[in-house]
Amino acid sequence: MEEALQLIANGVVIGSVIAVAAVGLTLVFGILRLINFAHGDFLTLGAFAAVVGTGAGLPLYVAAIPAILVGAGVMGGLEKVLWGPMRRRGASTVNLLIISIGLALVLRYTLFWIFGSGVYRYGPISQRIDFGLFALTPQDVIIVVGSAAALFGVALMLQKTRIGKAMRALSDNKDLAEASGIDVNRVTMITWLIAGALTAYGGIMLGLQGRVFANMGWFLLLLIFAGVILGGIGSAYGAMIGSMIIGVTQELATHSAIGLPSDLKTGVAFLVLILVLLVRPQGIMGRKQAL
Amino acid sequence: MADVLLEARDLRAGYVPEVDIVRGCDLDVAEGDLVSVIGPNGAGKSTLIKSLFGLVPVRGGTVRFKDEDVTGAPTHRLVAAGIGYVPQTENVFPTLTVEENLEMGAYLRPRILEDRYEELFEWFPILAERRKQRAGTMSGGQRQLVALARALMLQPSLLLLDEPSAGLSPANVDVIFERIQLINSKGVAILMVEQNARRALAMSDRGYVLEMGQNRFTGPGKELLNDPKVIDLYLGGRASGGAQSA
Ligand SMILES: Nc1ncnc2c1ncn2[C@@H]1O[C@H](COP(=O)(O)OP(=O)(O)OP(=O)(O)O)[C@@H](O)[C@H]1O
Ligand SMILES: [Mg+2]
Repeated sequence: MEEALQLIANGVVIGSVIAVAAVGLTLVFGILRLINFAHGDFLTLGAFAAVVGTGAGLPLYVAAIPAILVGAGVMGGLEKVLWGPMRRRGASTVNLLIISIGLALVLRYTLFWIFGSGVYRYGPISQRIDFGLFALTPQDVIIVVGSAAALFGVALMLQKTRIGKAMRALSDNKDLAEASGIDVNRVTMITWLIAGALTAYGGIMLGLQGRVFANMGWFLLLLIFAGVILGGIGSAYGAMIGSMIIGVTQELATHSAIGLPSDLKTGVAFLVLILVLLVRPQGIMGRKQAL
Repeated sequence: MADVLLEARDLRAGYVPEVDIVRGCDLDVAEGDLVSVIGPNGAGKSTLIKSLFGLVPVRGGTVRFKDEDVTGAPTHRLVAAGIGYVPQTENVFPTLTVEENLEMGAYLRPRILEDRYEELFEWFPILAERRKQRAGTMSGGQRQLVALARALMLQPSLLLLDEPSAGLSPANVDVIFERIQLINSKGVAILMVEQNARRALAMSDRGYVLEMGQNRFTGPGKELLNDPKVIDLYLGGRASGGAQSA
């Protein structure tokens, strides 16, 4: 039981990181029907942007600010020079997907080129704090609280603000959004900026777990996709729930009573994904006609 | 005739390159008028409305609204200029509540929201009861009312309606036509495409019969309704009643 609780706690930590990343991915998908394979490498970009700051002696919470702006700026810039022009020329979903894979490689190898294949850290990981039923490092606690705050902020924005409602409207029906007077290009740009900021923030959270390296986001991408699909692609709340389930199952799969090697834990998370989709093909919060 | 509000001349538009669906249409809507467009399936009625509203690329001809050339203008600018539009299908935001649907209708002027809620909930009382319900979970008739109300939020001077009565039960068809006439009586000009051709023409100031993307017949609604050629070709032969659908 104690072991299970500890594993659930670990799962919540990684689930939080996945959730922040997954929400950015799903917001963009909801509006553009674009499956962005470069999303994982944007996490890495954010994490490294913060490394530059901490390397210069800034505390992480200060270094995070320019890093988040870099993430937003790069995603927004790509909408301007790449995605927007591509859509206007009528590129198909498959074209865009292939482009995103190419973009992922470019981003990743640029980071390899600049930072090498070494491992960076924001600072030493502190001793675990005993919470009675489980123990977590202070970094883990920051990850969970920081992610929860970001997700709460996104939910609040989607539910209460004019731009958030316009984003949901656009994701429901683009033509009707346009017919209602919503400037679709502007809302699309704002969505990229929010997704970029969120993804950089998620990358920093991921780095805070311990290590920053050029493949970190790429390695997480499949789990992010799993969280998005499990929750129902296009649904932000679904992505939050789905990611949490993926994070927790994959940690619980390493429980000693089950006796699986820990290399298999990702496999178990995907097994759960498949089982859920068999019962509910549209995902937990997804609508049937999505995609 | 009152002042011209919308005027299309020799309009050409289509989706796929080289294939024009609208092939040289002329159309006039005067201020406060109710105008119907009828014609067989696939004639290009929906495409005509969309091309007036910037949702389908215009390839030739001109569109003028309130004495300004708006040919090919982006849709959100036409909304700002005073045009509302209710598409033939998928005309609500399904995951948004009734209230949020209306709020999106007033996206360009959030300040007027409360005043507009008041008037529209008076016109469509059922929507006041369902304020917090998601539009996607409502019946077809109720959804049509949400769609109408959304399009009326900015107090447009012209409302484009694409088959407002399609797929509704006879009772709901009555409700919709009665609401359309009420809206028109408040001074909103209406350009509507309808399958329910007899009924639409009977209440129209002007009617257009469209075929293969071109004007076939034009005239006052009652005249078209009594034109033997229109009756034979488009109204399903000579029928006695005026109010029944073809
Ligand atoms: N999005 C689209 N892309 C390509 N072609 C289209 C598209 N929408 C409609 N068309 C084609 O344009 C033609 C006219 O369609 P349109 O919907 O304007 O007709 P309509 O008169 O409104 O018909 P209905 O009475 O069935 O609604 C049809 O041949 C149709 O196949
Ligand atoms: Mg049509």
